Amino acid sequence: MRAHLFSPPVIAVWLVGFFTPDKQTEAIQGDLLEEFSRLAAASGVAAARRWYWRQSIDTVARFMGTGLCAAPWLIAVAVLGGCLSLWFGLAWVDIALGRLNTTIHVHGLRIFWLPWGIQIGRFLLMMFVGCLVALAVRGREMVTAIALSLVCASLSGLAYPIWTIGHDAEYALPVRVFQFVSSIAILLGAAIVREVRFLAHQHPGA
Amino acid sequence: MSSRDYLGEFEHIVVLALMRLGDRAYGVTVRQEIAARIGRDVSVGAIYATLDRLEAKGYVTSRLGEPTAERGGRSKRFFRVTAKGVSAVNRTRRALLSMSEGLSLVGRYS
Repeated sequence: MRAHLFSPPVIAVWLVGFFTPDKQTEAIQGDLLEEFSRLAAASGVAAARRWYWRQSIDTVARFMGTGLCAAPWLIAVAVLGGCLSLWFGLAWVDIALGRLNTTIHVHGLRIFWLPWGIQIGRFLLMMFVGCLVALAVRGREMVTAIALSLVCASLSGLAYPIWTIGHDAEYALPVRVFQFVSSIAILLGAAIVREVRFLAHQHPGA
Repeated sequence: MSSRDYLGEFEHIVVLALMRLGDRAYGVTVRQEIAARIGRDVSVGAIYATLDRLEAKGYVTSRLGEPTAERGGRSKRFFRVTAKGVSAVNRTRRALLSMSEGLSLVGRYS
């Protein structure tokens, strides 16, 4: 294929790729590129890039809106299921690693990486839940993942004052900040599923 | 879908554009047709969100064309109005005509 003289903004292309239904993604990106090339030749690359950004943001906002309106209950159930899975999963991680922590303290030892080990375990679990939720809502993966990660980030922020009671103050704030940022892991998991689905749609025989 | 289901204003415009364009109807040409006919600059997102909804209702069908170099190797998605879509256009058109019949739309409401 011929390389394009002017390239549209990579992040905008990426956003459209992640937030549009896999069936429409190729056509939308193609239409945007076709008009971008025409506009870049006629009005300059800067104007064409501004146009591309406006169109991309509008497209993402519309498909997120229609995704939410078309299946609000499906998304609500997926978010609730995701929250419950995280709740059980995180409780399990805390219990398992908490026991290890207690054993270590009984023997008078202290392992500095353990709190961070727990957080990495949480991060991986959140990514896994992001994948599961995305698998349940075809075509609305990213909208659902955003809703779930916002719920998790909010709960994480609200729970901070409670969590600090009875925990090591040395780790309290950085660990909680890490947990807040871990909500991104949900988006990462959903993005992986979305990308695999898009590639499967483009190459059905592969 | 109910037989009383009417097309929304923008859905109506998009379906009429598809009917005018025939086999050449895809995102870019639909946008251009609407801009040329009624001077309305609509976004690519608006066109595709509407086409997605119309396809879900069974008023249009789509097929992928061949990938082209000017689109970075991406295919065009061509749209076509179904018989059900044409019925919806006629139903909406009749409803609008019935509602406006006998009304004087000049001067009185200024």
